[in-house]
Amino acid sequence: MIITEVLAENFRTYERLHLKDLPQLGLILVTGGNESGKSSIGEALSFGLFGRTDNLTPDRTNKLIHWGAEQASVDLGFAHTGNLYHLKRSVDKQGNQQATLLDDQQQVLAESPASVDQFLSRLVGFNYSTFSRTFYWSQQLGTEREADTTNLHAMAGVKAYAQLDEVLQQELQTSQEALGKLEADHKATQAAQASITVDNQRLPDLLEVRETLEDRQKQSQALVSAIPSGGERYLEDHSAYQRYQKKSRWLGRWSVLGIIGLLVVLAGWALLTLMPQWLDGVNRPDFTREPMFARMLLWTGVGIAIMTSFILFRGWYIERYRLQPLRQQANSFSHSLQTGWEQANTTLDNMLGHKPSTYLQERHLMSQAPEFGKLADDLSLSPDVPKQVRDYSVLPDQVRYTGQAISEDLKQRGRFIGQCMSTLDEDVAKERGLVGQFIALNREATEQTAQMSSYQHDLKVKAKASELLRQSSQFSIARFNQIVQQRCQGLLSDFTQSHYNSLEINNDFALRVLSDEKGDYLDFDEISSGTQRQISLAMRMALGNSLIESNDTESQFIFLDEPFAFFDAERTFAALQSLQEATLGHLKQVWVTMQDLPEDVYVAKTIQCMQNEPVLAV
Amino acid sequence: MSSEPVRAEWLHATPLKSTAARRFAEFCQQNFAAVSNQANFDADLYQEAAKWVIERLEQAATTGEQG
Repeated sequence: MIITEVLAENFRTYERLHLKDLPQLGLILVTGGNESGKSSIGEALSFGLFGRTDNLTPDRTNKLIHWGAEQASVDLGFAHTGNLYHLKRSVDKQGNQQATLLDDQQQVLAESPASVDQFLSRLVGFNYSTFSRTFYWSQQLGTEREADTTNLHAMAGVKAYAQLDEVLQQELQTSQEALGKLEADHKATQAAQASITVDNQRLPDLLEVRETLEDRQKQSQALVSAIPSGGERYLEDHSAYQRYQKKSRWLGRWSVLGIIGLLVVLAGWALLTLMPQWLDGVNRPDFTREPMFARMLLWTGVGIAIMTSFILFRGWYIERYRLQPLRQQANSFSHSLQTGWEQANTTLDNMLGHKPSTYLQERHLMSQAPEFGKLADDLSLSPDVPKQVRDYSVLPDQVRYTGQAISEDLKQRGRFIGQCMSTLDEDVAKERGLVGQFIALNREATEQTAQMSSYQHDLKVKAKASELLRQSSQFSIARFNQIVQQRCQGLLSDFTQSHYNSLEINNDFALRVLSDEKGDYLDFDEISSGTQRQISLAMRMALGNSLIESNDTESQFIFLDEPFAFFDAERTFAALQSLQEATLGHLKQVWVTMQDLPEDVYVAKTIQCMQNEPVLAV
Repeated sequence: MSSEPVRAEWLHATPLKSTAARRFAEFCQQNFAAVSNQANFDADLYQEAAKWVIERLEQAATTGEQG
């Protein structure tokens, strides 16, 4: 494919660009300063042929439209295998493209972007991907760091593989380092775990002991609170009880007398009224013979009955509402006293049980315990007082004295239990902290194990991925190296002034060049950037030639946008000479953009671009 | 273990956009058939690794086009 004519309208910096009478053989130099529109010519070729540029995918090509215009269009005339073609392509502001391919008779060969792409690909034997890799050297490529290595990798078909392999190796290293750090952390966690001894039964035991102590302390506090108030109440109730008791006894006696009197009167009345014959012959006063006397007896009986009933009711009332509550009160107080007495006279072991006692001994707290059982040894205190309290048979002073003694003893015991609980709380907190620490370490170790497993799996997958990637790359690399060996040596030698004769990519994607002077391969990165660029240009020309040959095509254009950006004048001249000579091969039409027109180099056509000049027609 | 070569059907699960991914998938297709009958061959690991590479190649192609 050789470009014969370019007509672009409203494309990039140009309102109109018309390049005609383009030579089919030789160098076409496009010169001009920065922003003069040199690269736009290359973009016009790329857009015209494939509907995209190096920077813009087909859906974004509306950015190519000249400012203020509605659409951009490019008409290309090109020759291929002896035939002439005409390709028209345009894009509007919405990004809609239209394309038509015509032959030299103006017959439409394809008239949509997709069909044009398909037809063109079949016609010339390559698509945009190959075009951009082989026949189009973008300015961006020329200025990027490590662009030559990337470019050569792209030519070999392993650019994506090499880039991914680099990422992969970095990720492998990062994962390996992360795993190493994780393993070290895991070991530290395990060591920390080993340094902690946790008895699984210890915390439950301590909590059980605490529960017992708390329970006993509450009991003691309840008694300490109940006994003094009970004692005060007893003092008040004692006299009342005695009084009511006395009254109750008095009422009891009177009620017995009343009943007896009632029975006697009723018996007399019955004898006089119902069985008077029984009294015949009995010497008795005359008034007893009067009917009035019998009636008086009856009324007397009724009176006695009423009186007795009242006394009985009164006695019941005192018993029920006075004495019984006092007895209940006394019973409750008696129970408190009895419990307090028993507790005060119970040994600590018996009171607390086995586990709490063992704990107190273990913590050496037993020795600080108040003396137990001293109440029993106090001769002034009677163990019967609590029982005697029930029927108020003991004097209030004695009760108060006993109550105070028991309370004091219980308070001492409460204080001691409180001290024990403080120590116990510290132990519980310590044990909880220990258990918490152990659980946290366990959790951490589990998480670390899971993470390590994940990293190990990740490493395994990535190692396999790297292996597959390299195996897959080896085919492309071997093919590239073979082509270089067979086809590129001459061009390499020409472009590098015979310094370097061959180039190869090894399985690590590293580029090496064969130095004639040193008789050995050098790493591509070791040589100067200018030489790298020369080699890259030579390889592009060589591979381009190789591709054209394999497509059975005679000639092809190549567009090199600012390929000598970093060359000095001598190297630029040499490179241009080499390109000029290279046009003797299949790459017959070589477009080169550069800032200044070099001297003493034969060029087939020069196109001078001017800054701020929207029209260019040559 | 069967001596029949095993086809990696998962390689054709989705159409691939990038040339590099397609070329890699073709390699895997041939390579998988060759190595799947080997002792200690871990098909899951192979599949995971191959999918990882293909996914990354596709991603790189998409990013490259966008950028």
